[in-house]
Amino acid sequence: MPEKNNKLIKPITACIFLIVIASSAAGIFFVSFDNNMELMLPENDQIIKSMRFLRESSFSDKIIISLKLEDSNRTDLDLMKEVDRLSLTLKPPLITEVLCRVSETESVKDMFDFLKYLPQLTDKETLVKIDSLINTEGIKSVLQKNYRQILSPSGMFTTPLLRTDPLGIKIGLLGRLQKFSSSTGYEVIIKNGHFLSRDGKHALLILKTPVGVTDGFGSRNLIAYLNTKLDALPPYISSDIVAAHLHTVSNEDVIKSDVQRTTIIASVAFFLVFLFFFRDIKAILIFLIPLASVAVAISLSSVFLNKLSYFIIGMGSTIAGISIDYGIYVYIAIKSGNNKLDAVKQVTQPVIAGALTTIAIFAAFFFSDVSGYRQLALFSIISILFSLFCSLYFLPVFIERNNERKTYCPFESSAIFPKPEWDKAWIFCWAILTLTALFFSSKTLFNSDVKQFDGSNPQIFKAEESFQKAWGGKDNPAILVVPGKDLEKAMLMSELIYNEAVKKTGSDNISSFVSLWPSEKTRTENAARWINFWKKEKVLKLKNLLAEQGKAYNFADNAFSPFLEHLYDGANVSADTNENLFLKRIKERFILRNEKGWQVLTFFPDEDLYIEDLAKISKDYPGTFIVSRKSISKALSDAISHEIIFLSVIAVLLLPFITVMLLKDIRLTILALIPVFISVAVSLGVLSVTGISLNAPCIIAIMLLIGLCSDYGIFMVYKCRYGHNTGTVTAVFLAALSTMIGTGVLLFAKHPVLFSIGITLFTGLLAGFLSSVIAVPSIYRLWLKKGY
Amino acid sequence: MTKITRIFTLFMLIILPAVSGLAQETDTAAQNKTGLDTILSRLENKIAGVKTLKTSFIQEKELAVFKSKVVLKGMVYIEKPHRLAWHVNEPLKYIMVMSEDTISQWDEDTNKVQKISLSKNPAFEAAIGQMREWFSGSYTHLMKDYNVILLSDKPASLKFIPKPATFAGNVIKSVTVDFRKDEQYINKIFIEEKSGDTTSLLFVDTHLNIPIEAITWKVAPIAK
Repeated sequence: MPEKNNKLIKPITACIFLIVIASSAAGIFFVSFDNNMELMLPENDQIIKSMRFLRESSFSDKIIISLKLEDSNRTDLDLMKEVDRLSLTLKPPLITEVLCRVSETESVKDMFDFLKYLPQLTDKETLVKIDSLINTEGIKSVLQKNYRQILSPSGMFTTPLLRTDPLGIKIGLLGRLQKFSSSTGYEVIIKNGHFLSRDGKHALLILKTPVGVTDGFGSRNLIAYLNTKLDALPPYISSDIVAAHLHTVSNEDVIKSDVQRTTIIASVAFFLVFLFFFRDIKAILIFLIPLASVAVAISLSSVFLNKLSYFIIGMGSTIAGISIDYGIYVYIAIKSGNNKLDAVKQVTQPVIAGALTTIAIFAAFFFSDVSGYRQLALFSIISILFSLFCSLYFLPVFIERNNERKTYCPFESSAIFPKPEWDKAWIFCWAILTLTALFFSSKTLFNSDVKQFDGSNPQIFKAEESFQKAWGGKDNPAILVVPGKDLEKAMLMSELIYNEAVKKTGSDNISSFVSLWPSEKTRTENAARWINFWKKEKVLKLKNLLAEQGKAYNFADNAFSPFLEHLYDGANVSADTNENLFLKRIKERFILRNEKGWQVLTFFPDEDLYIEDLAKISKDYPGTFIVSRKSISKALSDAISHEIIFLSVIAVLLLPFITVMLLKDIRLTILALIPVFISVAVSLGVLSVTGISLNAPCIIAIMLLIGLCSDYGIFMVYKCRYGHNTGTVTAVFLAALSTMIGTGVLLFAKHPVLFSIGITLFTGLLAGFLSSVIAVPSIYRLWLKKGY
Repeated sequence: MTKITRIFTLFMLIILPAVSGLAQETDTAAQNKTGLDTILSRLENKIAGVKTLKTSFIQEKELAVFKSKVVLKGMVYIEKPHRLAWHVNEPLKYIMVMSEDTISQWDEDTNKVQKISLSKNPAFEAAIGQMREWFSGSYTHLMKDYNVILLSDKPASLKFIPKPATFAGNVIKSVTVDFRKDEQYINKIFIEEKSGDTTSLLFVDTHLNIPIEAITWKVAPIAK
């Protein structure tokens, strides 16, 4: 009867295993994946607000196409013709608006129409200045200026404006507009109504699309659609697309191809390693355990998470490398032990100890502010637990001890192991290596720039560079965002902020919509003050002064009647301004509307001084926030530094605690953790030497490293302490080799994040493994052996 | 002056993102095109031989803003490819020197020199650039902004009417250019504005290809 039961165990276990794998694999098809980089950012209020603003604002949903004339025999007329032709081919639903031309005639009309709102836009201080001009000397001075201007070569174009503005009030108002142009940062000239670069060889089209930047599928369709249209351009015209959508598509492509490449390389390498070392078809079962655990982890994680990050899945091969270790330890123990049951029993404790310390490290990630880290924690813990379960309960059912072959333990030979008389020399070597690594690791730089996570194709960055070369606009301004459910309230708050900002930093570089078009309340007050100021007596006085002083300059009696006759035009605050395209377009840039209400924007230089001043002001106005690459970078740096310290403290406390609980000896615990210390020092040192800066994903990698190397240390300590015949050195070697394959393949990744993870783990593991099998036995013999 | 130059700069820079719309263009009448092309290239070939120019000018402005006609007298200097100096002696003292990218201006009243970068003030460049274009004689280039009518063949007289939706089209109704008998340079330019204002510019005592003194291009305040 027991024999019959034993015969049934194998097929039943195999069936259960297959069902679990099949259902997990099927479950993967229902998992939603995400390439949103926000997942890898800390849940810092400022960072989240900034990122959300950039995502939701229309800025990122705009596409710029720059056409370049490549043939010197062609003129800008040919270029403009192609711009017009192309613009007609771009249509909904993917492109909803194309801006490539302006009508200069209409623009002038709109501009003058806008200036008629002078009564609403003139503040108290300006009226005081105007009042100081309405006397003989003041009028003489302004007329002299006007005379000179009208007779200058450009006078033909300025005379109409001067006639409506003898006192220069509108010119003062226009002065405020200078800041608006600086907020774009682009150098554009208008020729025949087209947007051309200064050299006349580039033309610009600005497209609006309803496709969101985070919509990977939509972005792919959009870019394909644009490429089809651009392919139809004649050979003498080249084109560059500048759009956030390109980054979305390219990042997705790079990560997907990296995942494919690394998975294939890792699979082949794993297969070859196991066949080379084991030459046993059943060794494939060890290979299947991590694959199955990844499949189970993906499916089970998705039960708890809405979407799984590609970054986390990208680390699948690394996770596979980790969870394969337990199978190796059990397999080698069975094959090299005298009795299967005893071998499994002897290896169970260190395997569980290793798994628990690794789980402890990942568990620390649950305390992270970064949701991507928490995903990784869940994903990894599920993967490790499943792998542990399979290694201890599934694998032993199928693996049998092989009496004829003892070659499973090539590294147990004393010829390979360091001899006791070399112990001091080895310890000295390791001390030197560790000190050197510590020296270099102290120079490791931390990089918090969000741009490093962008692994887009270099062609995209090249196109952006060539765009900036032609059009400028490299230094994007920072933005102070004033949100409000009600536009008027947001405008009033913006006014207060603007006034404070001008007091602190001056008005030259602050570009706020309210400086041009204040809130309705302010405009109503301005209009009332204007009407009150221009009483009949004052108008008559000005008229007489202009006539009297104008004689000396040959000015006609009615020279400035366009001003006097339309003095009160535009004082009606409730008049509809929507028809004025000039105002409408500026409004579009400075005022955004979303589901929650309105956002009024103020642009300013993205420089520390301005950010500091504006941030201080912003603190006094709840809900307002600053969006700037520099401040995002600073906030990220602060948040991630805090994260590193926090997670490191948890790991540093948890790891020794669990190790000491399992080993029940402080000195053995210290010994088991020596490889951890060396591996971290070496990986940080290598990062420094190779010029790669430490970043958030590298921190994750270092945490992984700690978990893995603690396993090696624990196993070697067990080997030294109990001397079980379970092929420990071989098992540690194969475990390290398999993990190094899993991480080494990331060195083939094109995405910078995956690459930096690869180099951190690979070098750290190498140091961790070597120190486990060389330094740990030497130190044990010199420091601990006598006491046991 | 500073503020006024800003107006144009701002005007152009602001309308760029602020205004959109489709412009209608009309092509130059096809029937005149071939003949005009021949005459324009003939004129360009002749003017191409002029490397420097020094001439007096009399500019008459009949503007609604003034009670009576204003007559300006002064000198124009040109040194190809980029230099142009505009010296006004009457009724006010004013100097403007234009190089490839900069304009320097001085006037007697303020006795101050103002320098403007054309690359940083594209709109001012567009306004002042009109003057450079008329003086250059490269009229083929102007045909994309203007429709051209041939008034007389020898000596050539051409009427330029700005196309709608062009910078000049906002203000100018037409520009008539009369050439000298030898067609080596312009004799007179007459500009009619949409407002009805007119400006005529007569070149007298014109010297071609003579050395221009270096001091002509210097713009500096006068020590009092």
